[in-house]
Amino acid sequence: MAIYKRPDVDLSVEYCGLRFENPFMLASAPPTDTYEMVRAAFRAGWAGAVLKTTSMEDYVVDIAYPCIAGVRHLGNLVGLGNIDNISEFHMDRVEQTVRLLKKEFPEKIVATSIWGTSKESWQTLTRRSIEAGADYLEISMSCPTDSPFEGKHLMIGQVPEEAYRVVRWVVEAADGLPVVPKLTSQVTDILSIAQAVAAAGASALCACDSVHGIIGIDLETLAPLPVIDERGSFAGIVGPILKPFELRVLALLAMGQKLKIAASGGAVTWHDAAEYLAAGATVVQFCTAVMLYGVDIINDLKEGLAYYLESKGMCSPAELIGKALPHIVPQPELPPRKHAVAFVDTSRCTKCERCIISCRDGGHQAYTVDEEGFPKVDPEKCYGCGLCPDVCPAGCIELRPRQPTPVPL
Amino acid sequence: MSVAMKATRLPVPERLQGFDEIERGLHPVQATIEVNRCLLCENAPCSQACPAGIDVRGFIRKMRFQDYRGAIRLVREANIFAGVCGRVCPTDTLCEGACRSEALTDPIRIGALHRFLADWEMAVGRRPFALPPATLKPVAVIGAGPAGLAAAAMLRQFGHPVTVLEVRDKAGGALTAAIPPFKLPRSVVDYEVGLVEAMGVEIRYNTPLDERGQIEGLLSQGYGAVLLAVGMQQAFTLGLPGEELEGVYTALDVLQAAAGLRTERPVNIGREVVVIGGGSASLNAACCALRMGAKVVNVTAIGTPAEMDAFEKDKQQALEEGVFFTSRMRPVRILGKNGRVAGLEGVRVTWKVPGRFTPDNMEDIPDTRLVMPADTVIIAVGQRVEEKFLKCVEGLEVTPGGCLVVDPETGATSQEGIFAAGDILGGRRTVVQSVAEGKRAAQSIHQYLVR
Repeated sequence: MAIYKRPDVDLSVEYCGLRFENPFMLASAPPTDTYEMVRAAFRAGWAGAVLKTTSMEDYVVDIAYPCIAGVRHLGNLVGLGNIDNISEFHMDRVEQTVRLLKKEFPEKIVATSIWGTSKESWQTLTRRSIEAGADYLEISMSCPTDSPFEGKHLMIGQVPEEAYRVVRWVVEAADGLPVVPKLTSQVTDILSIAQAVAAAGASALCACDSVHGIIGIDLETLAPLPVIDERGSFAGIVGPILKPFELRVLALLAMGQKLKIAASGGAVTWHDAAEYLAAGATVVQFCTAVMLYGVDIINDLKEGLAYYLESKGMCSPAELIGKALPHIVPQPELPPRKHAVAFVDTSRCTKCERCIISCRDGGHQAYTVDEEGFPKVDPEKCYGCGLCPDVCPAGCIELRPRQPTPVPL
Repeated sequence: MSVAMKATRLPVPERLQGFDEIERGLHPVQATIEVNRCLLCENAPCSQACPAGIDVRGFIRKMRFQDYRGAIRLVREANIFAGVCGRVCPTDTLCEGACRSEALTDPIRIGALHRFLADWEMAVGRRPFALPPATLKPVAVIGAGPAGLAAAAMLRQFGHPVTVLEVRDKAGGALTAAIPPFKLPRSVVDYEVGLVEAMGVEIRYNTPLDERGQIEGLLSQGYGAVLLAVGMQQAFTLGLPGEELEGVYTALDVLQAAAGLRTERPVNIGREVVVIGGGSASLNAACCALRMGAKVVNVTAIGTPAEMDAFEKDKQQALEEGVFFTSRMRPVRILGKNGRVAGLEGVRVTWKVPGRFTPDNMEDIPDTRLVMPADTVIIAVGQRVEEKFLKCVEGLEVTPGGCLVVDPETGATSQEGIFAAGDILGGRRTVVQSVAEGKRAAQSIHQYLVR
């Protein structure tokens, strides 16, 4: 039974000219591979889904299992890597899924994601998506994960001319249906790709696809993870480890071009999503978070975002979109001063001296130990660099502004 | 992050200076580490083990996902007494006892997280309530303890105007009268009672209802239903010679005096105290006595500390604070001098059949009489429902032990329109069970009134 008043916030957003009941949708990925999975997600409250990337019936999709391994740092899961491929279900099955979903959930947004091998296949997949009733189309420009483009180990999304060409084909066949290229972040100049697809007629952007990498090397077999028959491969890396890179790409795109952006990559919580909106995204796609925690995290996302927006006096996510951008400046524009100084709350200090190690070997040798064994900061030596607060396991160090004014270096 | 986060406990010398809360809350860093230890199990056993039906996994996940607002909402929707239960719930036998993290490290400190959220909300302020207008039939609740107020809050949320009639000048019932402030600070009880009042529930203080016909009178005055939640206010004694001496109190007297509540007679704790009884109330009274001037406090019980039927935390506290134990002793009489207690005489006992701790299995050991010098004796051997109260409603079905009989599914008594919840139903009960029964009764009353 409800006890507290819910925030008076309308979470709906507009993207590709479509109304999303909230800015949260499922990315084209394993959680959107079947009708039943997406139906469960829609029932839980997701605003939309991009179905897992599909292809023509004659395209052979081989997947070697296991296809997933965790990206771990000191035992903690910080991301997932997969040597998955596009969906094993072809366009015929995806058409059915779209029809079923749109019939049952006319208010939800259903997009297809397509992968062609020729102008003809791209355009056929496009037309079939329209006929099935998809709300929009995503073009997978860096899938499959290890797909050397014309033998050059490049993805479509890494070559502006190729990106333009494929998007153009799709736009021509799309008959006005919104077309959204899903970019890869692994480019020298993301704006040149964005400009190319915009020129080709893209309606909006999705940024980004998984980041290609190697999950790890198994030191027994010396093969990449996951190891199959003493071999492995390049993988698509997803999950929270991507968040800082995702934020940068969003900011670059939002500052440098006009198309609306669906963020994809690294978001787990409402907090991540709010940051993505502030960095310029309009909707936020989720995959890893659902794979780890389940579709019902949508309730956590909606509630958390609503409280946040209310606390900032905002009535809609639209008011948050891009709000971080004016605060992002080139580093040389930040005044070169010592603005802060480290402060240790000794009441909670465990005397582990991790701060002392880090400051000595990675900072400015500002720490000593006092008679009682507590770390002590010399404000003259401390630059307020920011290392020790994050190193402290007890969370008892903070940076405090230098009073009354910042100190020259 | 291998084991459960520790919460700091107030050092003993500082504790004994007053009634300050012993256990400090988790620091945000500790809370974060703790929520990250949670396995977030599907069909979480912790949620299933909570009598109040708190979605434990849900609130921990919201905490992990940095949404404390949503987390406290989930807790409060199931249990208005979030801060109280976060402190006094025997979590080791409920949610934490069921926790699957046990297999890896330690159970998640669910109670501490629960409390953390409640404390956080007290510090930052709560959201406005979402309540329907109070347009349904009015309900009267007798007793502003955990069962009564949990029911009142839920009935108000259903849309019933609710009036709570409380005999004391303060609300909280057992929360204040039976749980010492060093375990549950008054400010926490006040805050959560305040939530119920802020919902629009009226609490009428100093309103005893123990005359025949008064309860039925409420039904004819326009209340659609009445909930009896008066708890157990009458302390048992042992009928020992000397119980009339000055310096003999019940645990209830001592706990009420410690809480600053009115007591029937003034409580003056002396220098040497003997507490009779082997339950948590006995240990709590002993620890109160240490804070009320006693230099020596001796708990006498049939069982050893290990055998005592008390919460482990209470045993640990008594041992930490230097309470003495005299085990395997049956009190025989209270000795007096000039009308004042001078000691307690007892006899050592043993068990006829080892390991079966029942009174009929006990036998005196010949020639083992002993006398413990004392100027104060506290009798802590349980409580019962006030007989006078049980007689004030015509035809209520009552057990031989003096408790109300209700339909276990609905909490309905044998009299139409009268329901009951909490300690009045007898047996030993935790706060969270009372809350659960209050909620159950509220649900039945609502169904009864909108039928």
